[in-house]
Amino acid sequence: MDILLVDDDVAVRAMIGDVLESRGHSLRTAGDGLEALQLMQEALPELVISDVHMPGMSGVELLREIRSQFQEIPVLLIAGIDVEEDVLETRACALLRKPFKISQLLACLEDLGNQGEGSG
Amino acid sequence: MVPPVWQQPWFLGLMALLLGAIGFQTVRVVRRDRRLVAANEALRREISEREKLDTQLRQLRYLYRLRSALSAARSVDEAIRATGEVIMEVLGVMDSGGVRIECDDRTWIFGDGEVPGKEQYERPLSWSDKERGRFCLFCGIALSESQERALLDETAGQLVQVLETRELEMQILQSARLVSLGEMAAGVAHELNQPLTVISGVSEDLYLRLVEDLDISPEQLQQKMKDVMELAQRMADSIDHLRVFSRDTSAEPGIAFSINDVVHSSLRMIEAQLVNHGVSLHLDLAEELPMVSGHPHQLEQVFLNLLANGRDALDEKWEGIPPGAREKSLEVRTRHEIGGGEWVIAEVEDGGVGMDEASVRRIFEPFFTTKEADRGTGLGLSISYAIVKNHDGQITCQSRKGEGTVFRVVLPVAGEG
Repeated sequence: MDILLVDDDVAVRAMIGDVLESRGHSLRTAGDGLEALQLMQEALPELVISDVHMPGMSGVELLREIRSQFQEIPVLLIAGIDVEEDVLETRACALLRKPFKISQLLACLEDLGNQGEGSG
Repeated sequence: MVPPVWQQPWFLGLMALLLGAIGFQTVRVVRRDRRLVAANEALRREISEREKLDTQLRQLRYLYRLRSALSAARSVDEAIRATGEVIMEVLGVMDSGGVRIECDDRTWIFGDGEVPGKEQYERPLSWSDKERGRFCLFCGIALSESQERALLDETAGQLVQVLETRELEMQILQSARLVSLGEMAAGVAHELNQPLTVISGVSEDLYLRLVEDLDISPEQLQQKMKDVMELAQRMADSIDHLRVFSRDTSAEPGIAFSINDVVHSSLRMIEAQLVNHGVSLHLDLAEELPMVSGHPHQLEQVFLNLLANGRDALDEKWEGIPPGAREKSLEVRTRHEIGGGEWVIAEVEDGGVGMDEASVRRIFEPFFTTKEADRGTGLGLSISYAIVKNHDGQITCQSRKGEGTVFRVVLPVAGEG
């Protein structure tokens, strides 16, 4: 799957990136929401994984932008603490809380991938 | 026949004149005497009045000395020492003697302490409906009623007042720690959560790869384990820092430290939060800043508080504006200044909502807050004020509504009195 990974923390980005690449996904990374939107202008990924807490634009704000600018690309939000649960009501979206299990991450990806295929 | 002399009219006249003169003189003497007695009485009254005034003046001087010594005292120990020393100055003049002060299971002795054969006076030290100690005075001579009032009642009263105030301040400072701990909780959770996520992710990933027999090179493995170890250390450091932060250091003697280090350690606690709120932080910290002295962790609370206030002011200003159009900037500056002493100055400036003049005037009052009820306790800045004052420093605020706020902390350089 072609995945865009957005996180301001280099260590988290490297860890998730390694997991995804070792499982055969192709990966692009961005350090914040604006950079992610730019990359999406160039080419649309099949799925976006984004941290919620980022400088400038939060993951939730990025999700809204994606919904208003692009089609229903599945989005997986990764949150530390205090995130509004209502973002989960958005379609093709899932929330994972840190710290999470790799198996949970992979399961979420599979779910969202299927949803993406279903709606696309 | 000529009548005897005493029957002669001239003689009688003379006698009458004489008697009249004597009577007149007697009256004058008596009058003068009365006046003298009255004058003497007035003089005596004046002298005794003066003596009384003199005693009162001495007592007032003593009370003034005591009050200023007590107001400079920053802890229970300093307050009791100040009282003992001031009262010993007086006792030293009167006659040798001593003072014993007991408070909360500790005893302080000044001068000879308890000497048999000396007059002994005692007053309880009670506050908050509880007897907390005793104030005992021993001296070679019996005290007059007014001396007893000044040396015992007034001294004990003032000491109690100061001890009670110091105790309340300590409680407030302790609860301030709780306030800022609450303030930090989100930041700390983030601080620990980030490395924990990576540690658990990397180790599970490695485990799954080994189980699923996915290829992994020894170099990759080595690098990953090194990352895990470093992140575990980062968590250990954070926890270590929290432990030091939450310890009550107010009773410990102060140390010399750099304000820049304090700024860095408070940022460590709140930086993640600032990032989450989209705040861009600018640091302009003077190199080779002289040391200040006191309790770095107390001052860390001050900066945590100022930074959190800056964050809230920025949030309030840019609420409802799209992320791309926000300019949330928070600046921390430190510098060294000479003028009427040597000072270290630290400023925290935000470009947030700002405040009107009336709010700025009241900003350090306890329970005064410009924030909504669920955000501000109104204690943060009054506690910061108390902490900075305890460090012989000053904290001031300048603000313009709609433009932003600067808080300035001025502290004396260590060793500058």
